[in-house]
Amino acid sequence: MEDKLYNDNFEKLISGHADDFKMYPDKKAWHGIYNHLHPGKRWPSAAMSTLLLATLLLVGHLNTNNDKKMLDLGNTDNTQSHLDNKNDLRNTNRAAIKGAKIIPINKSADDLAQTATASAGISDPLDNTVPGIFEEINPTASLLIAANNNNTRGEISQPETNKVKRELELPVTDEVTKIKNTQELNIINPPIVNSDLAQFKIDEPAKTDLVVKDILLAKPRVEDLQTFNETVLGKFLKARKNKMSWKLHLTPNFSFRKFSHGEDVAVNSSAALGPVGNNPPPARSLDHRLALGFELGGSMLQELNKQVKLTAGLQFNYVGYNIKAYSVHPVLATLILKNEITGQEYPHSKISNYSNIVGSNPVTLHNQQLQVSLPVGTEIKLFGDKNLQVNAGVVFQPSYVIAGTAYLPSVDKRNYIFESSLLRKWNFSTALQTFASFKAGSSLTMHIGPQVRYQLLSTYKDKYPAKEHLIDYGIKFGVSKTLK
Amino acid sequence: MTEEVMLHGCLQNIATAQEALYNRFSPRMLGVCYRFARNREDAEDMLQEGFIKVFTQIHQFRNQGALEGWIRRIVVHTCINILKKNKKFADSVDIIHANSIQGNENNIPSIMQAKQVVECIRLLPIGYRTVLNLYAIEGYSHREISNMLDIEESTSRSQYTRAKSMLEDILVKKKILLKPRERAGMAGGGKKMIQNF
Repeated sequence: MEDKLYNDNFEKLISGHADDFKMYPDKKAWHGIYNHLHPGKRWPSAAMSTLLLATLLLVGHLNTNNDKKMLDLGNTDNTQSHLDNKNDLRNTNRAAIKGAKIIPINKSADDLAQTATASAGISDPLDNTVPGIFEEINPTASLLIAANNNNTRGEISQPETNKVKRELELPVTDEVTKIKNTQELNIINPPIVNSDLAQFKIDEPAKTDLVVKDILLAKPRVEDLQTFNETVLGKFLKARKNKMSWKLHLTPNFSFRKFSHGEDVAVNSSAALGPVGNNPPPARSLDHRLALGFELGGSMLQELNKQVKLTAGLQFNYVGYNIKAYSVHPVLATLILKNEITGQEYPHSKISNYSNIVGSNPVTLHNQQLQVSLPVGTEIKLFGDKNLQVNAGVVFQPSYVIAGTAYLPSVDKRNYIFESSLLRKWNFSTALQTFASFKAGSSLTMHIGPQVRYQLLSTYKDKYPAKEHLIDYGIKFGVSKTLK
Repeated sequence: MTEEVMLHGCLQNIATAQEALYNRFSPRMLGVCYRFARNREDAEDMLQEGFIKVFTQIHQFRNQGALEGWIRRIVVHTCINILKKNKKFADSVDIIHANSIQGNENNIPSIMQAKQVVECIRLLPIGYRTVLNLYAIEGYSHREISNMLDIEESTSRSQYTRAKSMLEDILVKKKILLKPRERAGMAGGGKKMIQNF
């Protein structure tokens, strides 16, 4: 019996102590449970992070890409691609060919020019003289055409036709790579029957007439790079870089809220649009007060033209308002929620420690949100000069609520229920602003002006029938600098 | 937040209610899992799976009995299911192995009494420990245990007897428990003296 009693006591002792044993799990255990039960709520975080990262990478790439282009201009390997100017090349060749002077004999220059032009099919709109082209007129005639501007008379003798290849070598300067331009010419080499022919000879092209752009093929020197930078293309690219700037801004603001409940609940006018005035609110009227918030962030600006700039950036918003309530003993309060699929309303009860009815223990509740947003927008210069100008802007802000608290009035508006799970995670706002910009120092520009921001979607999810839209009024302070 | 409110919120899949319920019952449930698991990490995995089942099957709770008891049953079944994937409970434990395990009793930290008892239980081989947990602590019958572990009922009884004997030896060696014969020898009249924990 003693053993049985001992056995029973042994098991009771073991059981009692084992039951008293507690261990506190790691946070990741709850995270794993939460992610399994609410899988859809993971992905916005991942998507938002990806979007933010992609935006930052894009801005960084655009910022550095212009630098790379400027460097490439000085890079000899890329000069050819940048200088694909066919007109220059054509003019160069024409000038080179023009340098070869062939003196006509035994025929008028006009006849020679017309014949050569017609038969060769040359159309040279830039120059009336015919380049050095030799044409076989007939086996018996020799014809040398003058390639200079001075029409020189010549004579036609009886040539023997002979096709020769003539290598036209252009004189080479120290900087110029030797260019060989081979042309197949029909040269009629007549027997010289006229001693006058001896006076005609082919001159070598003048060195000074050759204009071969060394930067087309050869490695440019430093002074050539400087020359290039001063060209139109260089000036264009340099000017392009000066069109990007960055801006940091801080906007302290006050949030108003536009609150509308269901039609079956009477809404006091003071509850519809806050804040409430100085008079104490009547019973069942919501007492919401102003609270200070802010926007803090940075953006990149791209100048489209002298009047318009595009902006994109990243910023953090802190918005919210205060609620005057009274601390009471815990009571069961009810919200009316709506099934998002069926639309059917159902009660949601929760313990509340705060009352809207005047009591002896006033407290201030905070409805607040910390958001991260990606503002994109436009700034337009209204008037002014570089030193002082007035601008207007419009910004569209998708935002994500990182954290927030929400105290919601119960259906009878007697109590406030803490229910942050009803906060909408994603929201959109639009902001209008005007500001004055003035130079501060040699490179910085200061900006100051009012801003109004309106929240487009309700603060709360669709399952909460009441709609709330925040309106923020603030003064925006900014500093910007043009990238050089 | 009362249990009723938490339950109501969990039925609507509201995260705050679920977290409140988890925070209230997870410390004790983790202690339950820790008695079955090999280490803390395994115990937390068992806890996580158990609570996922709790939240997905919350609509099956019929308010017949305490919510904690219902959650505990789900967690215990989850622990058993996980252990069954890795261990055959029909196998008997080698005596040599059992003695070597008993030799580790000196590693038990001298901390809270409840933790001492639990750590002693965890020294037992997995098969012994599981049967001991289910019978002596969770209150299942040998028939129920045999169905859960897919073993014979006689195997469950014999494993429990061995587990209890081994645990007793560990507790005595640790001087957490005095045997009745020793207590009778210390004071006359056969009065039972059970050392206070």
